[in-house]
Amino acid sequence: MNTLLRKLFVAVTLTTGLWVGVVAAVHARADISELGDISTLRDPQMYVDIEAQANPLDFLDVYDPLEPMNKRIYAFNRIFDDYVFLPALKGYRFIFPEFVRGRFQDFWANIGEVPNIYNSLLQLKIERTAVSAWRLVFNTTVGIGGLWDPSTKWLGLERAEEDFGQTLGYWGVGPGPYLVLPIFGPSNLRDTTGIVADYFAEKEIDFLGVKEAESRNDTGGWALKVFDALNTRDITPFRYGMLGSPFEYNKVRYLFEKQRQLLVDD
Amino acid sequence: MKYPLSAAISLLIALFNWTGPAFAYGFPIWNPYEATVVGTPPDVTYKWGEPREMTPEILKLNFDKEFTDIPLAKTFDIADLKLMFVKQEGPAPLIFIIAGTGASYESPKMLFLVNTFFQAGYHVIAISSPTKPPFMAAASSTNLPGLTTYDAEDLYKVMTHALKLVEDRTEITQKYVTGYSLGGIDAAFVGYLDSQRKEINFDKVLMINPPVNLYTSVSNLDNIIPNYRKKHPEATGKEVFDDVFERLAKHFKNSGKVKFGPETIYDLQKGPDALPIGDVELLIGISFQFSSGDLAFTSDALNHTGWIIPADEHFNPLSSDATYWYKRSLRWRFLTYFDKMVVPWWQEHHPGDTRDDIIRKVSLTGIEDYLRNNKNVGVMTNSDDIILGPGDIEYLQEVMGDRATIYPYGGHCGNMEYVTNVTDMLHFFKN
Repeated sequence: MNTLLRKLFVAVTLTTGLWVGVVAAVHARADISELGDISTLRDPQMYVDIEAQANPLDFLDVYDPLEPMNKRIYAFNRIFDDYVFLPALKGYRFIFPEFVRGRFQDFWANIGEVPNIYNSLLQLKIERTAVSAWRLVFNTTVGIGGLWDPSTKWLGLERAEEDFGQTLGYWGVGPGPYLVLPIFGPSNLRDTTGIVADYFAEKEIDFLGVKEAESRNDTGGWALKVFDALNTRDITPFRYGMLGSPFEYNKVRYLFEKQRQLLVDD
Repeated sequence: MKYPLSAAISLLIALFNWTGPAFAYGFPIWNPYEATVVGTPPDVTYKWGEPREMTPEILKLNFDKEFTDIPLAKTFDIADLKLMFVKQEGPAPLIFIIAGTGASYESPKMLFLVNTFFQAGYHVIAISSPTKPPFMAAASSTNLPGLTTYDAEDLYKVMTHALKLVEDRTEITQKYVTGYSLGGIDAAFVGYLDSQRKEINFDKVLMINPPVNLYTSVSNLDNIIPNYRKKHPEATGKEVFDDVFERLAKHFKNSGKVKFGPETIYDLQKGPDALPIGDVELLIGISFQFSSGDLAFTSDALNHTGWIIPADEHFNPLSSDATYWYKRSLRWRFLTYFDKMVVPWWQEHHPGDTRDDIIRKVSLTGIEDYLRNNKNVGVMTNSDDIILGPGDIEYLQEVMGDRATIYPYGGHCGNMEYVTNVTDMLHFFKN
């Protein structure tokens, strides 16, 4: 669940390189109607001419039937980020030095190793299941409750993210309509289903008692929830507006779907 | 001596280096397109023994631009222009760095340069390219970036304001300006303007992989997509790009993890699933198309010229029409923008100038005397830079003499982070 923002960051990392480019498809016979009503523009004929040269660039559409609602949630998320999340993050970073935050990161990553294990198994990825399971055991013991990640550091066994959305994708479930979730950000129907499934599975497994404690409606439960969220935001470099593009919504949408597809295919 | 062999090898390498760069230049990527996309591989980037931690500060400048388009201002968060400032404790030189086309002050190349100069002991102010939409909205006087003479005015205004913000609490010994790609030519035009106005008095100006003739550079990039289509008339974009992703997916599968980072493309290109050079080239063209589209759209929306968004309409990212505007903007190549939006505006303000006159005035030819006569202006570029045309390298050598450092290869900015290049860069400002 808390890996979602991080994945969005991965999508955005792509843009900072040249990969934003791949959004475009060199499309031979594009349909002028997909440009909307051009009659009120200064020179509608130029668009017709460009199509006639069979030389338009086009980007691949993402299935987004709920676009109006998604855009509103996207705007809400931005405001939430600016006025709640980022100021809170500033305080979090001020209070906890980098070393301490590093321990929190490793701790939450270790708790999050649980879904990696069963999802790798559900995708019949035996080696990955073994690696994730070994990481969990080693980091929990040698890494003192997961506060450190000696598996990566000493053994070179790197983390591989697998969630139930990827498991569904592995078994052939398509992404479905694009969804922007409040606070969590970009998703789609399949991956949202995955988030919910992982949430219940993690709570059921309740490794080290963390997920159960986190779901409690008391001070401790809320403190854990807040910590979990702040840690996630801490390791997610994405900032709204960082693309500096008027079409951030479209670009983020496309890149999100593409990088999810990569995660499903790997 | 513990490692006589390695010592002997280092000695040999030192000797080769001494005999001349053309012989010993060891940047590992030979294809200009590949170098442009991949950049400098992590194992040969310039490194600092014990880098100090850098705490960048964001400066906000407000030029009271009138926004008739309030939603636009909100989308970009553009009432203020944001700059990145990094400060040394004691007295130090200050360097301004200008980003390349479509890049912001926090793009990876910029962050590399900022960190490099910070580690070398400079105060640094990083500025987004005047072609970046937030810069256009907050600081452009024309909303028509690409005209280097006017961009220099805007940048100069930004720099003088930024100086006012920091000079009380920063001990500045000398002032420098640099930039890469379009930011390189911008740096030179800013230097030229400063030589007239003398408000900042730059001690040194360095251009990194600048365009020499803007028209040539823009055409080279604009033509990549049409040329690709000529070569592969049957290939649809979807196929090309599905292929790119398939290769990336295979690469991730083989390496056992999905991990994006600076080395991802480099690793991909080293492995069995490397993209064909034609596809690599296409990525450059497509990336440039995206910058051009954003630029043309933002210009049109700010100036209400009615080319992409109806003149009476206000840009609102929540509008259901936004996707149409996006698609229309992608029909705008840089030269379409130049011919339809820029040239008419220029001719209105400079009656009698032809299109060729404009190109000459905004290219390096426009400040040739300045470049020729000012010994504090330097340039670093590559013989195979894809934004240069025939004769451009010779032109730089003729005009700037030994202040032009030409590397045998490295593409467009591909070798900018390479150990030799950074050493030369720092050397230029040190001496």
